[in-house]
Amino acid sequence: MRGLYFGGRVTRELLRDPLSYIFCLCTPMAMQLLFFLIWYNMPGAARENMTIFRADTLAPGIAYFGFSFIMLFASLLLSRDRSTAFLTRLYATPMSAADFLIGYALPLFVLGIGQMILTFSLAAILGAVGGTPLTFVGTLRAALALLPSLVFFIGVGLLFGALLSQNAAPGLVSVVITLSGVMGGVWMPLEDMPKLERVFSVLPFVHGVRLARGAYRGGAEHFGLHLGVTLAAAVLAAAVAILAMHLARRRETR
Amino acid sequence: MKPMTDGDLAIETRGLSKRFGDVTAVDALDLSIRRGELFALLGVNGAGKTTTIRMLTTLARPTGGTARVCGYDLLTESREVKRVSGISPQQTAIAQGLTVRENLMLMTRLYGATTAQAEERTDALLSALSLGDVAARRAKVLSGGYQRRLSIALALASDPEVLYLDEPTLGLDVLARRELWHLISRLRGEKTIVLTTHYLEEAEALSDRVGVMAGGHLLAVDTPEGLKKSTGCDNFEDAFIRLVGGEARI
Repeated sequence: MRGLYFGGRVTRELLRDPLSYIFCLCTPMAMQLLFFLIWYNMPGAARENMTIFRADTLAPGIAYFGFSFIMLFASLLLSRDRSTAFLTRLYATPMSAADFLIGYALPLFVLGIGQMILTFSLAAILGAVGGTPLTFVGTLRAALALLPSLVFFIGVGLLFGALLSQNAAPGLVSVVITLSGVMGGVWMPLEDMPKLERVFSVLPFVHGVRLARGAYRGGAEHFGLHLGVTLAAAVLAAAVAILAMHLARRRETR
Repeated sequence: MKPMTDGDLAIETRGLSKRFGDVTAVDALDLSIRRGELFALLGVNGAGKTTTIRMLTTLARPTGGTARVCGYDLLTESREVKRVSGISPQQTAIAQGLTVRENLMLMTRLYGATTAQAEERTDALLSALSLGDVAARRAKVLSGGYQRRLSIALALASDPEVLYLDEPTLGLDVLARRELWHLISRLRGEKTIVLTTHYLEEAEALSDRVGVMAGGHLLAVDTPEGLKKSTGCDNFEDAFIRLVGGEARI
């Protein structure tokens, strides 16, 4: 229960921070709208070829990219609590390691799901306008396929928050945000750039995006690989984040 | 003062030590603090005051010696030690985005109170620490004095038997400091209070007894008057300087 009380505090802090709305909601929505408008205003033939900006292809990628902002908030919350000594005070309470993990991760997970629902809701409207309506089953499959990536980004955010200072964490997270968009092929047809695609495949971003897109369509080339890499990245990020939080506590209470 | 027995003691340390690599932060500390006493730990920077408090609140693990807090062993009964201890750290350590009331509710619930108990305790603390007027304000917009008061209120959220105040008036203006002195004086007798401070007049005005630390050693323990007498000084500042300068040792 202590983890849930603490999670209530984290939720309040998130909901009261205007940056939450700007980054977690407005930015992914604005990007989706912008890319859709570009696609919608293309001449007929070009529009046919530019499938990456179609609402049903774009939405899983934007939902994935949106999670990177959840990572930003995870790192900010934890690094700020460390720097203001609020965590030190909490370490003196009977809170366990699991309470801390639940308290930080659960609200971020719920926020990520809310963000994803809004992204697909907008995509449904844009899809109807653009003549590429989203299917409910496909959307549900894509949403499920995106959950491990949400865990991955929360894990990486908490890892940076546990290791870095309040000033350093956002800087490094910004780099990962950019990498996730570019290397994930969210708004770039990586399949047209095979050499780059091979290099980018070293990191989990492209696998996460393709897993979501493949799940929406009901299957994709190398679907098993994308699923395996995405799940492994989520498990690894969560494990390393738990270890980093444990070490941060030990460092503070040694 | 009458001789102390185990039942009278809130804190008892025997050879309590803390080393960080080659550096000895606290060296074989023997200290006894009575229940209900306001005890000030005085010392210059690096004297070992904060490390002592961190050990007594389970925030740092001793590298040697033993200690009991309200009869509970620091190492083997740390959960009980946490339950009977409340700490207001050097930094205010408050949840900036929560209101004063929400901060108190959170902390009381983390210590296991039900919603009804937490509300009752929160109301009591708002009243006792004169925070009622700012109860609905977010912590980050409070003045430094109010933030310190909230920090102390959070330390009292679990209704601890021992309250640790680490430099509670650091950085406050003279008015806010005096207000906090009144507040600490009101708590005197209700709780055992361990106070660390750089301000000699604060220690002299508030404390029943003072422990003077330097270089991790406890140099002297006595009442402010007793320290002046034993060092042959007319004022407390001279007595302190004489002690940390090494001219007098217990």
